[in-house]
Amino acid sequence: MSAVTDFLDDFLADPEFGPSVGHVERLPPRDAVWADLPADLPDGIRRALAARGVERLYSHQAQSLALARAGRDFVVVTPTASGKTLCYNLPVAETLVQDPDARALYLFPTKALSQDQQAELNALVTSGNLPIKAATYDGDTPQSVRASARDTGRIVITNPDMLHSGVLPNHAKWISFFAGLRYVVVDEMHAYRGVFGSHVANVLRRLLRVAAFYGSSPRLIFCSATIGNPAELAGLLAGRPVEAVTENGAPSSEKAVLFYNPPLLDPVQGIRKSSALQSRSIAARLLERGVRTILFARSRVRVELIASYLNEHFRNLYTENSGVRVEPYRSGLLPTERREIERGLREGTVHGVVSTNALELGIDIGGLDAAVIAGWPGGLASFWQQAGRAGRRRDLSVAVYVATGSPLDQYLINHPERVFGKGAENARIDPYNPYIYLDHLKCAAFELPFRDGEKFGDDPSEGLSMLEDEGIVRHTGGRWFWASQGYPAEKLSLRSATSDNIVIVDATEGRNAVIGEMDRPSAKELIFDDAVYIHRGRQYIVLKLDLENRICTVEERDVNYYTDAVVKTDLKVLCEDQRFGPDSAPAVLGDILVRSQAEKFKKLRFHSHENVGYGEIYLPPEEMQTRALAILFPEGSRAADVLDSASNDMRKAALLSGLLQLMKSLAPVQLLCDAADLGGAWRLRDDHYGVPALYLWDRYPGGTGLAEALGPMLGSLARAASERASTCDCEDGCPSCLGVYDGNPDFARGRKKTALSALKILADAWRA
Amino acid sequence: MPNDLRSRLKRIRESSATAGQARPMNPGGKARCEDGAPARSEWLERHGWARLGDQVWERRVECPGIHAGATMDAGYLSARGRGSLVAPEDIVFFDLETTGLSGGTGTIAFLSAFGSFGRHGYSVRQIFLEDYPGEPLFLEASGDELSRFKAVASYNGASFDLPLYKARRTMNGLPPVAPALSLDLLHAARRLWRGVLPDCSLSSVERGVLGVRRTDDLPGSEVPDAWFRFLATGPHPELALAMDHNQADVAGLASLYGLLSAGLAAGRLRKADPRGLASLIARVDLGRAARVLERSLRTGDAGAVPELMRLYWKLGRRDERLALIPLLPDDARGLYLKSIHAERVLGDAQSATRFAESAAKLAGSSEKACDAVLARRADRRLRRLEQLLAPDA
Repeated sequence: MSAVTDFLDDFLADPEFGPSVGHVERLPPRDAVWADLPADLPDGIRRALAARGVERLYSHQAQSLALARAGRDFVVVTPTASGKTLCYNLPVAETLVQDPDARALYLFPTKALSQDQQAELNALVTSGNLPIKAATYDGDTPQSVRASARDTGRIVITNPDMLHSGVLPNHAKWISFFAGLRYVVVDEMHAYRGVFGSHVANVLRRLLRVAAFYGSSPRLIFCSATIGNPAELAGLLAGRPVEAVTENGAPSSEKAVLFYNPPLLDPVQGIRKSSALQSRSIAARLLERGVRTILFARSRVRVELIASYLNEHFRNLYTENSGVRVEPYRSGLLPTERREIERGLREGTVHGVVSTNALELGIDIGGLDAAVIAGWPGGLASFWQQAGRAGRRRDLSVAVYVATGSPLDQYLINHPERVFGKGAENARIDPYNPYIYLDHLKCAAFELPFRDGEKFGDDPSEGLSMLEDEGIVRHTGGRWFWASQGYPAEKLSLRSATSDNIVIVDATEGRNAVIGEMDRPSAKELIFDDAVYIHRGRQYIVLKLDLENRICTVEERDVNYYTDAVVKTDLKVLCEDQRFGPDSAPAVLGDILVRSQAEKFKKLRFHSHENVGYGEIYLPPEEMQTRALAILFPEGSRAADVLDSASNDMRKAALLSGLLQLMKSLAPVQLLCDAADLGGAWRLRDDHYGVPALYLWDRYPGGTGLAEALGPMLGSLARAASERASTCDCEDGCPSCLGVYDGNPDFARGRKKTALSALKILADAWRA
Repeated sequence: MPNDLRSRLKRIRESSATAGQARPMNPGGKARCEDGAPARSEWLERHGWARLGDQVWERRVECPGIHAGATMDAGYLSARGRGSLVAPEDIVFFDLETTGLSGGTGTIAFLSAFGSFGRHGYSVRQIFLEDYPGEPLFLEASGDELSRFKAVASYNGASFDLPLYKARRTMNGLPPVAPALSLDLLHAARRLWRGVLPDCSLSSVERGVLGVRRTDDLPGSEVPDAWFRFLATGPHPELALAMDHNQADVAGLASLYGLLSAGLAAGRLRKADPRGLASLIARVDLGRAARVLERSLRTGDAGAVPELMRLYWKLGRRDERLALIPLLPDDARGLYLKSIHAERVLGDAQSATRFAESAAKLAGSSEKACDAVLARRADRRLRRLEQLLAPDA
């Protein structure tokens, strides 16, 4: 019996935990589906495969090779550890062996992944003695090796950021590479959604444009974790149709997935035991038994909190367990710190890790036995990636999903069929986000002049004439020439709305060491003056956030609370583009201006999360134009009548805030986005429409397609919302459904009933 | 979704216009003076330009008073050129003015200057690109000049002008020009005058060494905008200055070359750091380089000793090398060598120990990697010497 089996038996029988396990799904082991190696495979490759113990292929690998040989673009959708790298390494190696001028480009979303892949490729190349040199070309590549990577690298491994800012703007140095480019491999495609994906679609567009200039038209190979629309996403990224390979032929080991809903403490207010604390307890149980465990938490702050709780727990045990080492892993750590933790996990010196979704991607950390997922990770693809971190060996592994009190989690924990059924969500990008499009239009014009009538996805002439107005391109002789001293790629970051990151400096006892960084909008809400910032389990107080010089000075200090900003939001409607639903319950898609300002913050005690004080924040507001969906309650409509049944404005406000809270928190299930990607506000009487309104908007300037996608989904959103509210045990709304009304509780009394009838009307109206 | 891109872009355009967002001061884009072509031609002609083809102009300016200098071994200025003799008439002095300094394929050259010595002395031919579409012709005309000569002399051309020119040809589908011998005078100037002059820009060298002060010069950083403004609104005085700047650069380059060729042959050069001068001469003639350092040593420059010792070593002049050791400066390396010298040549173990001890201490307190190696060696040497001197040994 394995330690995992022991754990499962005891856990389910434990009176403290067992009753809270709502669902146990046993995923049986799966046998492989094999296909023979093609008879005409070049000998060198056959030898290389044999040396690596590969005598035949999984069915999806064979299918990939066939598609590549037929010159098709395709996307392979497979779970973790299913031999997906061979899906592209095989056709690429075959082409490169047969054609000495052929080249390939591999794109990975992070530098760490590039390094892993280079090692894997090298192993394949050496074992077959193949004449294929793979070279990593990224920000860490020393100047001295760059020229040789450019000139002799047959496979160049890089990331979209480097392609965007280093390679494409200097394509004249890469002539032979581009002229011979036959394949572009885009791995971890599901990572390219939202803002990042919208940027990457444009970078690929630029790449294909430059390749065409040198006379090549490379094929595209994508690999992705499970998402609902792999072919569609790949098609949007590629800018042309892409075929999907979805039948996975790889075997898998047995896995148990547990759905754990923390017990209710107060049914009336709907308060449950904290998911963070419960996850910690579950992880502690696993670690005590020597089960190597990864715990996924939703935010950087939580990761730090839970890791420090766990280490505290093991320090307090006067047993052999006190040697258990748990590390936090999240963005904002320095690269060396990350590498150290990854190595520790592979080598077994780190037993447990608490991570944000940063470890979701295929970074090699070896086999773990258990994954604890604290709170819904924002999508099925993420969920299965995280669950897949456990179980790389033959033995039974376990994944425990611990629900938070949020409506989304509470909905899903009661609907395991949404997770185990087949319907994965769709990943969305908007390559035509006007800001993103315009930024890449600049970069493309810098790379090569546009000809009149040339396409850049869409017709770029409107954008080009905007750039002409700004004086940075010149239209003459039938072409648009870059006419500025600037180097546009340098100023454009693919990862965040703004490229001006804030550097966090630890000034404790004159250390003056950089310990992390953060984008500006987040900084305004997380590391304002007097905020508590937690980094690798250490607490720091922010001494000064200097936005102008992009420096945040912090000092290490022990406090018993953390901080949470209260943000105030103003809206202005800029245009109405499209209407959804009938006139009785319309929703309007359009651009809005959002102005948000953090004005004060709460101090919350660790563990109990009780409010122990307030502080002021003095920072300029953040402004952006974006896409929003406004749900309206026109006068005389049935929905408005329901609202009016609330006897006064205060009651109406309590009702609207509840509806917004519920819909905003359930929308991410449908949209495959992070809860933080959506903003929301309610208006008792909207300035623009003159009627009560609920707004949901995309939190990235210009939008990434979320508001557009939400329009047609309103019916199912209303149905899910209504179901969540009706099955919740609370009386007048709780964090798991309508939220807690933070005004006078009298006004919230009875609002749940009203909300339910409003939701029913909306669901009926939007049924079409 | 794509079909509403245009309207969304329009809206952003309008809202940024009403918000009064500061427009970048870079007016090269809009061709606002479509009918200004006659005015431009007239202005160009007035400034000595003649039409070479569509949107490409040339002018030739005689530069009296620039001396040709002497024939010399190209090896002084280029590792690849060792052994090939170049006469001043074999060299084209070359400079580009570009639309930016950060490189990348969006940066183009719009003005080139080629200086050469002919029967009537030094003259400069310039080629000017009036607007983007003329670029292929501009590049070909420039290429003709470059390929007529055995060597190209430039200032930082090896890293900037020549690669940029090459990239522009690629981008316009033109074959590369035959590679001439590249003599980058910046590299020599750095060796000679770094630390002597405030910086090694061409104008600083002209001022500090040639005694030439440019009047009315346009700073290099303002050159790109001068062209962009010409594109947008037509001729203006700064463009004339930029053109003169380009011409003055290749004139200065020729003067500098004359000074260098004479100085390198003579082993004497105004204001030059003797060690830098010796290092250039050493590329061609070790013995003459040694003489430069010997002279410098006689005037009391102890810093010349290590380099001179290296030269003697290469020349096989062993005794002369040894004789220099006591003159070495008292830095870690000097002390270490003095310790060896004291032990092996003078037979003075006491002094050798003292030197080794100081060397170990100095090298040990330094953070340089090469000093760490030296520190270990000095330590070993010290221990061995101490054992040697120990009473019971």
